[in-house]
Amino acid sequence: MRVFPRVRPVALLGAALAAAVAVSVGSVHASSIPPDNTAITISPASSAPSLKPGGSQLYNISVLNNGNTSYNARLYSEPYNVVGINYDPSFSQLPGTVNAASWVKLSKQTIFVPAHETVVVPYTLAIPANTTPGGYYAVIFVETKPPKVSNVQAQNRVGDILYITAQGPVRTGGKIIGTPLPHITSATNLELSLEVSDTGSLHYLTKANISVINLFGKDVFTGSFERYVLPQTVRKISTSWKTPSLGIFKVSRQAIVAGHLQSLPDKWVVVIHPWVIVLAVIILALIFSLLILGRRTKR
Amino acid sequence: MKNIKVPRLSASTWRYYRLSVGIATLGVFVALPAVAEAQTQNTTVQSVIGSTISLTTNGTVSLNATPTGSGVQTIGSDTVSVSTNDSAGYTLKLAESGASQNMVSGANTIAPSTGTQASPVAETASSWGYRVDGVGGFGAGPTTSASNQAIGTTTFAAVPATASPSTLKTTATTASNDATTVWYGLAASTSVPTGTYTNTVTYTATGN
Repeated sequence: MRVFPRVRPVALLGAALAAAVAVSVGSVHASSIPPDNTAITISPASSAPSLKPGGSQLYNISVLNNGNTSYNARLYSEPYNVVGINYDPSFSQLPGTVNAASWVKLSKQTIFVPAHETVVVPYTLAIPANTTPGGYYAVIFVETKPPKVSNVQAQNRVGDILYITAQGPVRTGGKIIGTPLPHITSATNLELSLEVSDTGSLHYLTKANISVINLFGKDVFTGSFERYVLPQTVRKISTSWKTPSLGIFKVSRQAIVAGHLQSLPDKWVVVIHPWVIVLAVIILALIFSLLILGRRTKR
Repeated sequence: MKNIKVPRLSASTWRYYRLSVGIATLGVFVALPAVAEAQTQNTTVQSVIGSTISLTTNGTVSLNATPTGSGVQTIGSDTVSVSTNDSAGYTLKLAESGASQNMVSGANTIAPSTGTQASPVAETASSWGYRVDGVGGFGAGPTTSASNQAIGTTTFAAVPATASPSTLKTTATTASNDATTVWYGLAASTSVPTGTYTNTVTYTATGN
């Protein structure tokens, strides 16, 4: 009879731990940035300076090289605006508008950023004295150069968006706008959205809330969103609600628009997933068949 | 051993001592909370989390090709990863870095695809372009790497000019190493002179 050696539980535990460590170390290697990759981080990603016309202020932008390759980076500013209700960013100056990018004076236009190090670049924002109070927008870009020559070479560019306020009397205003919701839906994921407009001359930070409750008053979904809204634009704020299979729900939407809370009328939505409809049809068909069969049997 | 004499205390003296001890004990209990309260200090620990945005790419994509008379196609990819703590998410765009959309080697060029992100087209010999599965008119893919294969039907678009970048991705929440695979394809026949052809593109990531 062959005798198998008894394996002590402690040895088994040790082997399992060693395997787990080996896998985790392998995973660490797999997730690290390869040597030729270009990695750039900037902070802040957006800022909201507020100055009087004629005033200036010193700010900083930090550039972190979180890759394994040192590189030279170029800094410059460009105008910033948005297109459409989905706020697609655009970096070209709109006709007839002030070029706020020219208000940014960077202390350095090129920097050398060693691997795993941070370089802080001061810049001055100076608003001309004759500037009309209101909102103005620019972006400071930090752009890397490709690490070496190849067929396709990539420059990485990240931007710090400046939501600039030129202080003084400004016109504010806006409204919340409802977007259509279906009365009945079979969608497993339903888009819930609203739009907010800015009819004034200054941007504002809106806080929008979208919530869904069932017939018993229980919260089944809540979403809270903070978004900048630029003057003379409409911004869509949307989210996706994973719907239950069946039910009747009330959707509430509200937002703080230019400092005032505005709400949309609540909407009722009936949710029926396709499989529920199929099941209901099958059950009804079975009941109908049984009734017919029962009548024939009585005869 | 010498005896120690303990003096006898009168009843009134004992009453005095008991009263004193009682008052002293009461005083300790009254004083202790005051002393304990005096030792308590509140400290507010505060941390300001700054907004950041990060962009990581491969840096280069090699599309080496050994052309034939009928043409061959090489397809490679770039992994573009974005991280941001902006709760509104980010937008990732692609555009040419320079004025030319051609791949250039000295005086020789390889023209860009005639397709656009909305209406990409299959490559023909001596053209190059990009695609992102599931974006625009590119279709779901999946696209795979290839080297010197026969020119296929996978559609590509020209990398757009600097002033009109294409949006590759828009998100609506914070992101941690959110990756987008950008494929590049080059089709070349023997009409393309030998050389190292290059083009520089710019990826732009900004918060929403």
